[in-house]
Amino acid sequence: MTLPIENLLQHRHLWRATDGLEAERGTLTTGFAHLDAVLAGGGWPTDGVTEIIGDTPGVGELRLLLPALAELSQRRQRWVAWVAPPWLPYAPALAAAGVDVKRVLLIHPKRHQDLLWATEQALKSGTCSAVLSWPDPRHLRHADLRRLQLAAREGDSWGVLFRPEAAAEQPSPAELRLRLAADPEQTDGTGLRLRVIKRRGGWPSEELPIRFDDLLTRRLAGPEQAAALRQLALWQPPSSSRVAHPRGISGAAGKPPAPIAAGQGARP
Amino acid sequence: MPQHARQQERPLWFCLYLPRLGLELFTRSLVDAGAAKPAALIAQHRLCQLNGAAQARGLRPGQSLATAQSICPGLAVAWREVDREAAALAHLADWAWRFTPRVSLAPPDALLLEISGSLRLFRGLDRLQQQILAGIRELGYSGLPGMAPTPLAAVALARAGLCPDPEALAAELDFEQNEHGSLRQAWTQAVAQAVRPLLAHLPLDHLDLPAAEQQRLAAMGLRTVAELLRLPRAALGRRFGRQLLDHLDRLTGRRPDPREPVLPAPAFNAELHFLEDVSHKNALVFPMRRLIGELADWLRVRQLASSHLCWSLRHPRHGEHRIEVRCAQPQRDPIRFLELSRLHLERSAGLPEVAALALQVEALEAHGGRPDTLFPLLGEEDGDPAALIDLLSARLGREACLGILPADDHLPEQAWQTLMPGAVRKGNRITSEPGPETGASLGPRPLWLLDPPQPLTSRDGQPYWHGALTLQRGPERLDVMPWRPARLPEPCLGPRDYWVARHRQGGHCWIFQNLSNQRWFLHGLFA
Repeated sequence: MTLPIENLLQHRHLWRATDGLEAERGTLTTGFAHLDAVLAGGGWPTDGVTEIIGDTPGVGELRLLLPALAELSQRRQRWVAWVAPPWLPYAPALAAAGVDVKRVLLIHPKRHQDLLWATEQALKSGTCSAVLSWPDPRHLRHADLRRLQLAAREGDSWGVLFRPEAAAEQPSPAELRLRLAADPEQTDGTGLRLRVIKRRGGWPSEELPIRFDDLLTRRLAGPEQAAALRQLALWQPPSSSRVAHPRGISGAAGKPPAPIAAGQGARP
Repeated sequence: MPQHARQQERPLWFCLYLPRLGLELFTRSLVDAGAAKPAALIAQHRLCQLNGAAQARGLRPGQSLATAQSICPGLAVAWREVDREAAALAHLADWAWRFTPRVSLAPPDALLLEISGSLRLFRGLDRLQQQILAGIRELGYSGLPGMAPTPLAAVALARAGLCPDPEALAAELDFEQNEHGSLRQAWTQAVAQAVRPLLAHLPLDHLDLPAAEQQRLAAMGLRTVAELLRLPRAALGRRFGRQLLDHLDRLTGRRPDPREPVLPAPAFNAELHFLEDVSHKNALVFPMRRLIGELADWLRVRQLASSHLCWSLRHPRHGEHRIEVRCAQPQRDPIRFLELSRLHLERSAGLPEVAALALQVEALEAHGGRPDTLFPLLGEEDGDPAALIDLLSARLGREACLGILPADDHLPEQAWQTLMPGAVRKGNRITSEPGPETGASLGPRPLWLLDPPQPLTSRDGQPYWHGALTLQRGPERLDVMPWRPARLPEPCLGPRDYWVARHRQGGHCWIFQNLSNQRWFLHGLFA
């Protein structure tokens, strides 16, 4: 005898949120295995809007995206657009992290309406693999967010909106919403704490620690090690510092991502 | 037999008669060619051309302007300008060049196309005629066809509205080529079979004869060409002179009637005139679309592309207002041209009233001719990256879009360069390969750079930014050489000690102390 719930589940008019998510949509591994594990499809939604919420500049918001940006810039002949970035993206640091800077497009609109327009155009043009945008929180309306989400779907482009802490409580049509905060336990800049506020096919997550493994953290490991690294680096041709490891799209949640800039997963 | 000689042997002239050319110059700038709005062309204070709506209201050519306006108060009028019509006719000849290389003008209001060489390409006379008429209709003109073995007969038939049935004509033309006999004779006979009955009934006033001769012929009781041709030739010559005989000989093909072909224009230059002054930007979009459509068509048949459109908005009182549209790459896509032009139009402030809109395109390049892929889904699915740049810079300005490149320099301010997005710049200073600055040999580098460095307050040698900063790692010494470019502000000059510091909220920043004046600066954020 079957239980009523099983009968119900076999009914073809019943659809469960966890069904068929990974098959349809494009995702890209974040480069952090335990973050991939909580995200729908095992990575960033590359055809939707992701909101990065946080008030602290320099908490690691870009380093969180870098492995994916590096991958996108190398793999596709598309722009990685930065709309109204608050400061200048530093080309040598981007290049060192494996981002193909030839794909980087900086857009500096003068008015907020132009900013939204440029973000939307970039998203839906089908010529940007990722669009990073810093909208003015005072003027951003729910309808604008909805437009951007639709544009990202249309142009098969990954939209990343950077928003302040206050936005965390407001509803948003974005595909994925992450809240970032500095890690009080790791004061050396090696990590941050991340909480998923909204994701497809799942509930908000617990706080996850994210640990970076890059130049900053390696240098901070200790003066002796730093000196040794310096010695090593002198013997390497400069080009060897650049990473060009192609990685697969979705489904690679458990696979450790490629070196230098990418994180190697969290410490439990 | 060479193609050229064959055309000489068996010519077939297609006349495209534009009975309302002067009026349609204005109405074609309106949506649906302004069919609903009565409009008339005025010459010497009298109506000379009317559109359908005006005729439906009871207006007739020859009425005075005052009469017309009392019958139909909403009548839109335009004054005739012969020069403008001649320019439009020349532009149309350029357009007609796609059907045959032998296009000539039959002023003031007709084009002559020698189409015998194009019949096979366009798959028959019937289809060719349909294409020509559909094309001219799309441009906003109404055209009447006429076909005959001689140019004069073609024009006369078109003006009289007597066009031979292309299928019947084609049937007559479909004869075996006789290598022994005179091809010209056979051809002329065949065409004559189809054309002569029409020509015979052609009223004489459609012939291009001087008015005095027309009157004399009418006084003699002659009405049609057939009646005129029946008269003895010698007597006719004595009465009317050599000119009439000459005209009749050219009409019937007894004498050759060479026409000078129009040469294709080297640049695109088209103009639209408005019946009423336009002062609203949105009202210019339809005319822009029409001109861009013509341009795209013009570029397509010539296998050309352009990256520079020059709009000119003219008015007799306000002068000329120019809008220049530049694209990153030469192209010929009308949708993109229109989108960019609209954005430029919206940006341009202080637009005066506009009486005419002109589009000039001179910077022409051979079109790359990217072939359509056989399986578009399998190939490159991405759009053209330059399209986005064009779009953004059309609204935001060219300086709003930038690309960046790392440069070989140890000084952080000098270690990057901006350039036009997507541009490839090769030089000894700028490379896309990471230089020493990007390698692992230097200390950590922030992802955000503040340019120029932001001065920090400090108390007792302790730097402050959103609270006290905790120095965590350093120093890394970088020296600014005295011969550095003057871009750097004065307090930044001198040797620097760089530190990674943590601020109160938990983020990390990159600060330096200028050793020459002990001042602290924020230079980057490890985001």
